Amino acid sequence: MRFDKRRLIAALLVILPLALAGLSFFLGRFPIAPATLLKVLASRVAPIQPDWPDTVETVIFNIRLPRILLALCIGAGLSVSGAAFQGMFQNPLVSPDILGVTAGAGFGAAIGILLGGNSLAVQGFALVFGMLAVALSYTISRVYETTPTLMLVLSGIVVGAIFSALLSLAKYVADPKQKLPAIVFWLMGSLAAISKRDVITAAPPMVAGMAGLLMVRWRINILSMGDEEARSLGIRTDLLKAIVIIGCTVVTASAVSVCGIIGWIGLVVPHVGRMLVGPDHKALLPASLSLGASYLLVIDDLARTLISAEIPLGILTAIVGAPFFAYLLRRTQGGRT
Amino acid sequence: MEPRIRLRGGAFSYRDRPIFCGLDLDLFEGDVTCLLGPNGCGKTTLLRCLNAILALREGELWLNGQRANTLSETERARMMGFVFQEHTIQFPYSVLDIVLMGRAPHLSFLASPSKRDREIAERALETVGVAHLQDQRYTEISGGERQLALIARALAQEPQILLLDEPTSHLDFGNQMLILETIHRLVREERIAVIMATHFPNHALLVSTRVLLMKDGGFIAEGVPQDVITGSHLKALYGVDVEVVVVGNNRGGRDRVIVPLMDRQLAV
Amino acid sequence: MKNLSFNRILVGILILAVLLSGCGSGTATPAPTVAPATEPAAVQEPPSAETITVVDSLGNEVAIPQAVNRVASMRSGITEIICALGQQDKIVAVEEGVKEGGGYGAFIAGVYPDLMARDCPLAGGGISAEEMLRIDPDLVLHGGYGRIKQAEAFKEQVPEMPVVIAHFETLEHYMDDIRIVAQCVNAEERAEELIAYLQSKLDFVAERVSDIAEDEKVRVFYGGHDIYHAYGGETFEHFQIVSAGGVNVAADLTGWMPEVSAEQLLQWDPQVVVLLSGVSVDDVLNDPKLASLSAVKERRVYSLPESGWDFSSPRALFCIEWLASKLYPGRFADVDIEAEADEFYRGVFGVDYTGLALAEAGAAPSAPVKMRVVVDMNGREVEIPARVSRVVSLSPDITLSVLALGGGDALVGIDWMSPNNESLRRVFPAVEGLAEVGSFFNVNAESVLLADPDVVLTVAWHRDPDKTQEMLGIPVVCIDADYYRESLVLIADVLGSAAMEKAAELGAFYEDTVLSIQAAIADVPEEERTKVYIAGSDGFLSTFGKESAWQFELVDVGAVNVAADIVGGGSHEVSVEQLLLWDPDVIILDETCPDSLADVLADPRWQSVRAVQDGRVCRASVGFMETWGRPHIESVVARIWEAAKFYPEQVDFDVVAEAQAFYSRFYGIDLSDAEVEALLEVE
Repeated sequence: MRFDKRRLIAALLVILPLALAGLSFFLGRFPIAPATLLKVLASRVAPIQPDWPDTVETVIFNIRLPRILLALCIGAGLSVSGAAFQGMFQNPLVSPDILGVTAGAGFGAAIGILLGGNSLAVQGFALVFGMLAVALSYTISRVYETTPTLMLVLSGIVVGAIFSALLSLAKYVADPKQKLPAIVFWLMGSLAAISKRDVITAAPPMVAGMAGLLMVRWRINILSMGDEEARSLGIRTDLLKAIVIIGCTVVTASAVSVCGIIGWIGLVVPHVGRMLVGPDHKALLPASLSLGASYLLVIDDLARTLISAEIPLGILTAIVGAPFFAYLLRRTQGGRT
Repeated sequence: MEPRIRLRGGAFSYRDRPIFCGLDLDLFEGDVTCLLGPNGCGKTTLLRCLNAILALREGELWLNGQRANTLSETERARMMGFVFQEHTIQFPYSVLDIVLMGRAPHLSFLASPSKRDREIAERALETVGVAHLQDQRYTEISGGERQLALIARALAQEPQILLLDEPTSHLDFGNQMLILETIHRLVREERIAVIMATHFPNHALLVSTRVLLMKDGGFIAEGVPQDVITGSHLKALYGVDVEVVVVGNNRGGRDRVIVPLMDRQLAV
Repeated sequence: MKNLSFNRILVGILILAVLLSGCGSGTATPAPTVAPATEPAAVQEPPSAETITVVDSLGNEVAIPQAVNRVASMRSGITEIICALGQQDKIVAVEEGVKEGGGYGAFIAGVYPDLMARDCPLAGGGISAEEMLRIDPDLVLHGGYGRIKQAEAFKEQVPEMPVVIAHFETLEHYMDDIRIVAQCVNAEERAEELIAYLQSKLDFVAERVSDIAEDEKVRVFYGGHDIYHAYGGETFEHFQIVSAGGVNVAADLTGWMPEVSAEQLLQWDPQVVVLLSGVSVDDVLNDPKLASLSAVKERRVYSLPESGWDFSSPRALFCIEWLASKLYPGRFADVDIEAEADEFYRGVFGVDYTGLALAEAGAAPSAPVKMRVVVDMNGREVEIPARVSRVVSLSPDITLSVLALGGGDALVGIDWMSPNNESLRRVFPAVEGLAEVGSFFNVNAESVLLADPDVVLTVAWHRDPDKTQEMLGIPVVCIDADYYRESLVLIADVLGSAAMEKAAELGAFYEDTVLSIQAAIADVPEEERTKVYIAGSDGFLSTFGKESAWQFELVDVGAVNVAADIVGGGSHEVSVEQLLLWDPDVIILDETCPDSLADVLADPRWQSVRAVQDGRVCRASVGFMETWGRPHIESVVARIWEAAKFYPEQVDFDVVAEAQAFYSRFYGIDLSDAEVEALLEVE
């Protein structure tokens, strides 16, 4: 019976993001009749005479489609990264930012904005500085050719603090009318300016990173028992940690570079995953993928339809995520049921 | 017969603090070797060096006749299982999940456990007598059961050598006996070589075939239990006066037991 | 001698009489030779030497004066013919279309705007006899199937006025109708030229389509006010189709504009649909009932580029060529239809063709919009529609500029901060109903698309305007509001000519104000210029240096910024010593200065400063639209206020009145004295 329940949950987790994605096509401030929407989508594969204005196609393929795809990717990526890091750092309260990728990427984006670069430049800076921050954390944490977990955490804190300070400096010198709002808003996270090109630049690294993490997910179980135990079981901990760090960093840096800082997903979604499928990372990472993709998709749908302007994603994920996390903490009394 | 473990001239230090040096050790199939010594004598460190969790500063180590430094981590992990002291963990894995981790040395890097691995894990649980707990959460069973699960995990590695680090230290009396009996049975049935660090001289007397007394980074005595675990040795090791008592056991033979003589003198 | 002078007088009188009689004949009132017309359309008496007989379209013989100078043309098509014949000056009365420059009269009223000044003797659906008699034309020209009754009724009321009917309802009689009109306006020679030209056009088309087999002819449906009303076989439109080589699917229908159903249309399945000018092609293309019509599937649905192309006007003959080029594009592939249109219009009316574009191949959903290129303030060349009527603004400064330029009606989407500006809401209440689409750093793309703007106006530091433009498919124009004079001109250019005038007005007002201030204080020597210290955002002991908006303001009003040496934007901290050294005459607390006026005045450290001793310390207002802290048109009021404060003797502005005048003139709002005072004297 238990096995059947697992099968059912697995099936639901596969269907959920797909169903939500399909539904999301129908949502948006620009009213499109459902029948028309279906015809437009079908017209890409079947010969159907267009009887709709061009704007409808613009909305569906230039605006909604890229957003849906990236929301799925980013939600999945941040959740998988969060789950992997929580395992690696043996701490369920860890989020993907722990090694400073977010602080670095935030600072990189601020530099890009200050220099007046276009979207591609800002993304590039965010990506580079995000990865630089993690590389720095990693390097600082190396002790006698090992990377003890505690050192990683401490280095991450240090590096994160450095880039946060630099970010504050960037905000300080930014022109309060021109650049500062752009920086502040970028930091709050949004998929408002997503285009097809962004999908092409950001999705492949995220998918590759996620694939890497998924491939080693069972071994994260062992890593989560501690370095010594893992080594006693023959695990090459340094290699595995490097893989996990690289995978998480590529995913997170790519995500942050294209949509700004979206918090709470990497922290909360793995917990929900654990509630559903248990702590075994073999099931947890795929579950987190599905739940994270669905969650961010729903949040983005809200962000672009609730009011006629756009609500930053970071705000919504916090407003929804934080209370939910508090509830989880109370319910599980700190994670131990 | 080839020793499962052979150590010659082993030395280890943390930075500039020497822990032990000049240690020689042999472990044969069927042996239950107990490392007895006070806190800080280095026995835990020695075990970790044997398991290559820590790297020896000096000395040569052979495992199953092969030089330890020529073996890969997986090869080593297939030979030796390390049983850590039971401890709390962050994630509520099931007991089976924990034991399955022991299959890691037999799986390729990207693989995860198969049905066969599950069977081996389940059998390991049976061997230590906790198969009925396999779906329970590791965090919800008793200390003794957790220790047994960890033993099962080490067994799942299908090792020829088992290293146990003070496996009875935090357990109640009943669980202590449970562990000792399991070890005894394992050695007899599976022909595994066991080396165990322990605090308790009586445990060494109950279950070991050889005893090594370790103090200040060196062996002060080694040999069969009755020769090594004597009042003078224990006084030298722990500074405690003891009486060695011989009693009849339930197998028709006699067991030696250490009775500590407590100092009841009040301070003047 | 007496006889000679008497003879001279007699000869003089005789000559005079002859001369007078010669002039008088041109305005001959109906002579007794014309029989009283008691029966309608009666054959007139044999004409006198001063009248000629014209046989009109109905076959009536009408006697008209030989020399006609005053014509009432009661049909726009006839008016066009008269103009084509060069006799527009003879027109003294027109019908309502020409009079108002709308509908079918729009074209000719556009070419000859004077016609709109003529009388229009129509009333209550008929011709007002009284009016017409007052106007007193030589004759009345009228025609058209629907107008016969009107003409008849008039003839009954005023039988003595000649009414000539020129129908222009059939192609067959078109040229004869031209001749009729020509006779009425004494332009027979020109008429023949015109007829020859028009005929050549018809022949040109006929040549190219004459050899098309019956079953290969394109089926055409010609719609009336919408696609569910047809032009049947008795209409001019029908002849247009036939002449263009097509087949009128509704040829069997009779009557003026019979209704047809979707089923009927589907049954006929026309290959081409023609709609009257102004009827939406999109509606037809998107009509689900008609989706399977060949014309819809192949998008061969056209609306006439100009009203009047359907009948009566000579332009309707050009329409035949245009129509043929649509029905048989292959046969007219070598014809540049735009050039043909220009040639036709020039030839017939002496003007270029200026209607909607003709030459697009295939059906455009609606006639393609003419575009033009503007260069925005980031140096980008942006293609925008020639006529912009809907804009979205992504920044409050731009929104204010658009409003000040009178573009409030064009705003269809707005940044999210503007609706919070109370003053803005007062001046432009409609702002509350506008969709908020976000801001320059955060745009909800779908909201923008929903607002359907022609152009999106954003700031110069919008991160990636090309990306936004590509994503939306709508042109994005970048405005750097810091250079507000240029930005006003650019926004005005986008909005159109009315806005450009406003922009010029604003610019001129600004310049004049500053110049008048500077003139007033021109005689004040350098040393006596008012020294001003601005307290900045980091507290009283901070100020703004050379690169701030304040610097420009102070220079404009002839004052000296004591901190003019400080380089770098933003607020800079200064020491008390420095302040005492500067010893300013006036101190102004910027709106961002956190210290209160009371605290500043009471602080013992700078009591010795002249400004404090004289009590010349005050706080700067943010202005009505809260823009005084930034470069913006409203800051001209700030300058007026400052000039009055710094130079009370030289400058005699009534600041309140000036402010009221500004706000009234440029924001259309009347502020009371109390409101302005509250605005200016903050704290």
